[in-house]
Amino acid sequence: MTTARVAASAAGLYRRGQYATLAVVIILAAISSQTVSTGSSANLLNLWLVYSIAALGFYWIFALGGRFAFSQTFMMALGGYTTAFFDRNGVGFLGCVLAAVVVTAVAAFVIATVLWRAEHFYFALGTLAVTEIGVVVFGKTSPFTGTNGNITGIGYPVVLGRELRTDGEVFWLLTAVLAALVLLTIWVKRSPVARDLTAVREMTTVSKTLGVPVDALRMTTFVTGSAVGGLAGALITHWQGFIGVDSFGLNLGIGLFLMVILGGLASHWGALIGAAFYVAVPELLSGLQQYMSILYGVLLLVIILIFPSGLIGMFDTLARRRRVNDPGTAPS
Amino acid sequence: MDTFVALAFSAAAYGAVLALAALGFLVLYKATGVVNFAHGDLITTGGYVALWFITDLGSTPVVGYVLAVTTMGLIGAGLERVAYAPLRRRPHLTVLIATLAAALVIRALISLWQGSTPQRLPSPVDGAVVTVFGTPIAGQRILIIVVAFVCIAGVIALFGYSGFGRQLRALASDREAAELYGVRTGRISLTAWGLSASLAALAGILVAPLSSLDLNFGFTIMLAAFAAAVLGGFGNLWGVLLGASLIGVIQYLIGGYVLHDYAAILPYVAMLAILGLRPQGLLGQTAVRL
Repeated sequence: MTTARVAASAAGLYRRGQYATLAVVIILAAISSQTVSTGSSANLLNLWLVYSIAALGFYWIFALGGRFAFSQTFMMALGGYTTAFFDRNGVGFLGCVLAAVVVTAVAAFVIATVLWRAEHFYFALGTLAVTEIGVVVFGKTSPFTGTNGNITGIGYPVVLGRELRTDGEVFWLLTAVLAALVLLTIWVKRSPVARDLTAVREMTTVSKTLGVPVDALRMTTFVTGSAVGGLAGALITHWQGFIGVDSFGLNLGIGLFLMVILGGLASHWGALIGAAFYVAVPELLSGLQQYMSILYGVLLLVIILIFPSGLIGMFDTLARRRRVNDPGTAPS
Repeated sequence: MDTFVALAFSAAAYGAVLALAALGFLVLYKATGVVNFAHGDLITTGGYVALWFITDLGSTPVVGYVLAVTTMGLIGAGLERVAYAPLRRRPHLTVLIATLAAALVIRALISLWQGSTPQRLPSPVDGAVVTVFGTPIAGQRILIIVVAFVCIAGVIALFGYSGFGRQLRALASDREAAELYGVRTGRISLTAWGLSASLAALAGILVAPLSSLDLNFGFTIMLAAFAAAVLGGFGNLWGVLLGASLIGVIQYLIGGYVLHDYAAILPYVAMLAILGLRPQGLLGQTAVRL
């Protein structure tokens, strides 16, 4: 419900010029990928792209679907293990990734079916339970999860017969995937479905009586958002050639949530900005590692209390503060 | 038989701790409608505060425990003033996110204060063993069961038979009507936060000597307590006690005999099953409001 109100405060500005923004983002990313030469910067750039993909999936579930799901890291891990499993059995890169997306989508469908009557907080709890189960199960030794949840030697991504071995090469693959997903988000938000989604978020019962397919819409946002999470997990696994259960713990779960809230629920660009923040800030403040959690916590509080529409909405909020005679837009 | 008695005592002790943690969580939920994701970190903090009183200030374990529970009550009340009071009129999701943020901050502060190496909390019954039906049982487990039993009885009496309890129940069933009838929401909320933090600390202190204190210590208990609360029907007092006992039985008796490797996830599986089959909980009633 808050999500709806926050999303509603998205200014018209960000609805216009979407394609131009996307082009600028791609160009900027491409320029920075060409100018950075050190290994760690290229690595961080790719990490930003992968986290953006996962955060965008979470954005679909949380901001568009209005459901608070803790299961996105579970989906990433599931996607990663699935792709590693098929890779070991001799399936090619695209087949592996496709399998990962299908498996996570099916898993999300099953979870959402089990939890279909669980509302709000209960849905959050149910998905949190799924994540905790995942952490334990993935940490065991099995043919699917390797030794104690660690699998090494996963094949490099192969696109159009070309093996992408370096960070710089993988960059283009990740950029293409992210750009496609952002385009998809733009189109969904411009379609009539966006209005149905707002209705479902804001007044579930009322929209049910008006014939909006509430359950189907919720299911769709959750399944697609989770599948995108699985895709991100699969990509990160092939890129790094390694998967470990520790990289998909609760910290990343809170991190993803932080990315979406911090960037701003009002717009899908918020997920990208939040991911950039999440990747860059620990690097810039590398001497202050142990204070990072405090910083995140305080930031989260400040954002949610003062700038509920996130970094991207900060300008809006400030501008609106100047127009105090407009009570309807006060942050709620 | 030996194994059964040992596991039964483990289950009862764990269930008792979960009941304390879940009650603390529910007092707050009933009084303010807040779902506090920082509850687990309050449990951890309680353990560390007790450790600090005992090792750094040199008090005896029992005195340290009492001081820690009292301190945590004050910290809880302080949190209400600092973190919750400014948020009172905000939507639930905002408050929920704020408690997540609080959890992050509390956890980081603990790690700065005490480091992340696991530590051991001393207990007044360290090393004591009681023989029941020919089976040796750790004194700590008996202590947990006795203390928790007394405290739970106290909380039930408080809920059912005191003015505070009546106001709390009024707030839980209809906040606006209760306010119109002059229930002092501010005062109730302050008390509820204090009580909730004290119960969290008590749960943490009681169970800490059985394992070790680290940063994730309270989080696991909180999740299991969530599972207990969901199992019993959220907000239903007797349901929570039933749910906590069931989780204890599921984790220790079923986990101890059958699915040893996966004992840790059984509570979550039970929670998922309940959410899917009977979301209102075993003893809950459905109430839908727009």
